[in-house]
Amino acid sequence: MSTLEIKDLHVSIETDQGTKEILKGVSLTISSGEKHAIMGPNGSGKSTLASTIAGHPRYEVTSGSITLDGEDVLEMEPDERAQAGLFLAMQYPVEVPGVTMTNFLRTAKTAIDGEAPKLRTWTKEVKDAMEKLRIDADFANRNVNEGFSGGEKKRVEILQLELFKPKIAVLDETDSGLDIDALRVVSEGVNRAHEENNMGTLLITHYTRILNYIKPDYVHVFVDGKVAEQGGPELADELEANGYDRFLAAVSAA
Amino acid sequence: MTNTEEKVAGVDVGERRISIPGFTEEGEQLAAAKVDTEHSHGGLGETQRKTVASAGSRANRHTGFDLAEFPQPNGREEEWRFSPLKKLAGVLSDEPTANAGTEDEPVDYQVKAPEAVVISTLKADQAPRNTVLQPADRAAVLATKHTEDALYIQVPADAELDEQVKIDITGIKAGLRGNAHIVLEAGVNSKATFVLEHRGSANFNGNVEIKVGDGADVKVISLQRWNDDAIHAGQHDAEVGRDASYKHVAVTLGGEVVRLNTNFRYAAEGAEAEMYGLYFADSGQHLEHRTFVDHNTPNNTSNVLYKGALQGESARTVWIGDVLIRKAAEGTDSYEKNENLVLTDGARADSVPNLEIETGVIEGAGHASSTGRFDENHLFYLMARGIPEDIARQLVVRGFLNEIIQKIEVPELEESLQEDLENELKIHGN
Amino acid sequence: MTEQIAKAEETLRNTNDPGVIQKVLDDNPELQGLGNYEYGWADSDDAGASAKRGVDADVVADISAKKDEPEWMLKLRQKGLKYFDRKPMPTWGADLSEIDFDNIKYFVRSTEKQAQTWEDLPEDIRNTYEKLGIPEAERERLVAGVAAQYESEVVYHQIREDLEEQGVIFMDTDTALKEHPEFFEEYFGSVIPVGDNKFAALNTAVWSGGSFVYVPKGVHVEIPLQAYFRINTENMGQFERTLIIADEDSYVHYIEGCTAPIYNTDSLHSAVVEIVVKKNARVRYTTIQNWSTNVYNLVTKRAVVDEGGTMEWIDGNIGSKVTMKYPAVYLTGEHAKGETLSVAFAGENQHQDTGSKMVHMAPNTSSSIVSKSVARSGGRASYRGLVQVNAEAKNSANSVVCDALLVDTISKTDTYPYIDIREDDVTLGHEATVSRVSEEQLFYLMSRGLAEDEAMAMIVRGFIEPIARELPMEYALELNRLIELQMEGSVG
Repeated sequence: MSTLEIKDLHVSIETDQGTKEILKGVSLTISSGEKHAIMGPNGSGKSTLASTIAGHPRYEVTSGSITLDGEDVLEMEPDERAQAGLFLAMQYPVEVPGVTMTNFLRTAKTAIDGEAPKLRTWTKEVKDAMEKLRIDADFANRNVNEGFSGGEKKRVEILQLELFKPKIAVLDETDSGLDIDALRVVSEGVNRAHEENNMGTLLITHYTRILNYIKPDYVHVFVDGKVAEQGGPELADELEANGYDRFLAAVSAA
Repeated sequence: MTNTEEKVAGVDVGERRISIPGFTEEGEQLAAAKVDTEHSHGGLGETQRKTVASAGSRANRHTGFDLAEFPQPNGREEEWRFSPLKKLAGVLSDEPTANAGTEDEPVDYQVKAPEAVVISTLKADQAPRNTVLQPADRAAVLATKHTEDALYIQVPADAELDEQVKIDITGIKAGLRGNAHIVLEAGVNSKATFVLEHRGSANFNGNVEIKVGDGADVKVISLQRWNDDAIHAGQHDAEVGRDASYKHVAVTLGGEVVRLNTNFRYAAEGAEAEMYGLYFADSGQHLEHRTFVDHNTPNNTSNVLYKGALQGESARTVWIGDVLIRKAAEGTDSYEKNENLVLTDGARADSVPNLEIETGVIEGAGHASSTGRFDENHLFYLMARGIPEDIARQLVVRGFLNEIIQKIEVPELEESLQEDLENELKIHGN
Repeated sequence: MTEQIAKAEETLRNTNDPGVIQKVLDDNPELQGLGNYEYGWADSDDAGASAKRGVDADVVADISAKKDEPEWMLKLRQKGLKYFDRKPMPTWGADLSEIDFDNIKYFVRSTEKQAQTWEDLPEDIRNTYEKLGIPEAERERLVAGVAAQYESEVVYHQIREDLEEQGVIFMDTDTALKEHPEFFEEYFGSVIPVGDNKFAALNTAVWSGGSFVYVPKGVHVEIPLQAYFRINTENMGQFERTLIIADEDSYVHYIEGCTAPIYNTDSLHSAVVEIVVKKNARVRYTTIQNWSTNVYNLVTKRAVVDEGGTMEWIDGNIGSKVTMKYPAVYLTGEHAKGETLSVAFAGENQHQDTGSKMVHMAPNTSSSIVSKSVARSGGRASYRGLVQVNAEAKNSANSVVCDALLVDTISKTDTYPYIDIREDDVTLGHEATVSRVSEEQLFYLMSRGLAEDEAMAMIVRGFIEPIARELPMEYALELNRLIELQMEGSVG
């Protein structure tokens, strides 16, 4: 049983116009087996939260805390966070020229587990996982994300999710740019990881479409760097029907 | 720099006037003041540029076999201004191969080739010798002048070699001069891979000319795995036949100074030619690669990609990529790119992609050059997957250079080069 | 020269009527340096006809004496002449072998004193500038100040009173040397030393006219200062000298435009522009160069930028026979920024060898160069640039983007991007593309009813749009108009 606890998190970035506060006091708790959805309009700080959890150097935490089972996550380097069991499926996975998928997956798995995976079982495991996500076998020999389509990149992110078996995963707009088939395949991957590893999930999305495949236990509405409202799956249905206007109006009135 | 104070009626008119550090009364001295004085670096409109000769179009660059037309360079010539001339003196002197004809010749040549290949020698006036390669600098003229019998390796028409032709060139002793001229010919519709492997120590002056027959498929891989005290100047010229395919890969890891000119032109139309290069410079190494793609006939394709990594205080690399699309070369498609990864303070990479286009009727032409440190986003992506920073860095460097190694397509060579790179990276505990 | 041409020339010299000029040019195609050059009339040339040709110590001394200069300036001029004589011609870049230094008139005084109002100007000169639209610009308050240089000296200058009250100085360089010697003692020749290159040395020896601008601490000059340069005398050399000092936290935008009549023999324009950008100041310098196609335009422009300052060069090269110009920025203070936007248009018999130079000398400096060039009718457009990062310039970044557009099959384009790095903690990128106007693009536009040359002009305009949009409105319009003129008759 693991718990990721975010308390009153404030995050800023440096821009050409000076320092800008993006997150203005976010508190969330995600435990093993739970599925949380964060929804919100563009620019509300959803992706900032994801990147901050993973430790992207661009984001500066000015106050608040993130802990994983009591350990201070903010003190950790990005690789230490991954080794501790956090995983971020990125919105825009980076191309790494010249590094093959095979090499990359094995190196990362070794780093996370602290020992090299057994060659024979590992190869089979990768092959099976790729098949389930309908990723062509020849991707293994291609360079990481290089020349992949948007949908292919997202599938490869989920492939890593399944192989690395994190305790808590953050999915940053994993549904964006996916057609309906790809969306189903990717969602199945996430659901498998839940069932098999009792993973906790923080699903960041702009649309409710993916929530038809990955049923959230909790829905948080994110507006202007804060959680504006929390609820169960029914909150997503309401957003589907009415959009974010109600929350945006509240902000501009304030 | 002397600081001449010169005042007229209380106003400075001497060097004291200058407000940009590093300037003198005669303009910019920035470059010359900081690096060894062997190369003066021309700026734009600044003083030192005045003496640069023939910095104009590549089309006007002199070539030929007459040594008198290639005097000792003084370092201000466009084609020498990046090169350490003092260290290159041993290959620029008008000197025959040391101990020629004896057992003590400083460079040893071993050729291993499949049966179909014919090996012989060529005198200066025997074609195809000197029909493809036109010496473009003093070193190249000397290499040819002092090679009486050029090694001639011929792949007959229609032969498809299943094994590569290996030419091992081994220097025996540092400081001793060796001259070489090698002629590689691939007949019509043949298929062959030539691997030139340079090892050991010598002052080596080596020309290679490659005649690629119509429809042939030829790869030339030149590995510079010299010892740390070797000096190597060379010119590799190819002429690519109709509908042929040609690939040249240069991998330079060793040597104190390596200065390679690799060039190609076309005999007809429909050909596809590529040049790839990989270099890894440590402290004390000067690795210089110059490529020249001469689009002299219509409807051909070219691609050039050179990648380099530098680590260590005085590591130095130079890449000059010239592409000339002549008036006749309509329908040309051309691209060239150089990328450098600078790993430590003090290393210096020069990168000059020159592109001259004399016709508007082309498919496309472009060039790119980038020099930088690791991309922070690469590092973050890998670290977010649990890979520690040092390993992530190694991965990125290896991945960066792998793109070239992958072009070699000779598995055992690729593996041994991977190992070499691994060692290069380890030396510095990255 | 045939009698007919001599006669035609005579006619050209004595008329201002565009119709007559056009007729003469149509009848005598040899005279057409550029078919559509609009500023090709020549005013009567009383002042220039008698001027002395060639340069030597006497000419230099004479210029200095006529201007009643301090001794140190004469000394600098003499030094400039020494360096000019000593330095060989550049052997790179464009072909300069046809410049005949002995045939050039180095100093031509067109009027005895500077005018303060348009009405004071001699009529022929006033006509010239009215054709160029200067009085309107001033009347409509599109500019904060105007300077007009005719031949060797500034004949008119005006600055808005409110700016003057704030301490902004904008006047011709000759007058400024007299009225504000302290700036010249400190800065003249400090950014571009006397012997910097052959043409800067020549300029230092025989300079005359140009603008001096000083913007005090914290003052923002919101609308541009403008200068117009015109050469009227045949074989005239124009050597203006401009010095701009932007004190801390100030801002100024300076614009210059250049024209000349079409003669059979060549003229030389060799200016020196020195700019000092102090802490957190920002200077933008815009040039729309439209010399006629028998002017050699060999200009040295350089700025030195202190901490947090920004220098922006916007450089449009449409005219001239040969231009060699590489505006430079020396980033000497932390967080200094340099930017060059350059557009070059090379038509028939033109060689535009232009680019930019960025030298990073302090940490956290950044620079960018965007160059767009168009070549047509056998013209040649070359980008030549240098990016240098010195050893101490940590965390610096630069990007260079060069795009070239070839409009036909006989034109040429080259790219020579030198990059020189002595520091590993930098990010540099260079990208270049060369493209040709595609038949599909043309077809698409023509199928929508555009004539072929209109379509071509539209594509070219689109190509340079990223630069045109950085110009003040009237200059953007001007640039587009010049390009349309250039493109006329490009098809066929």
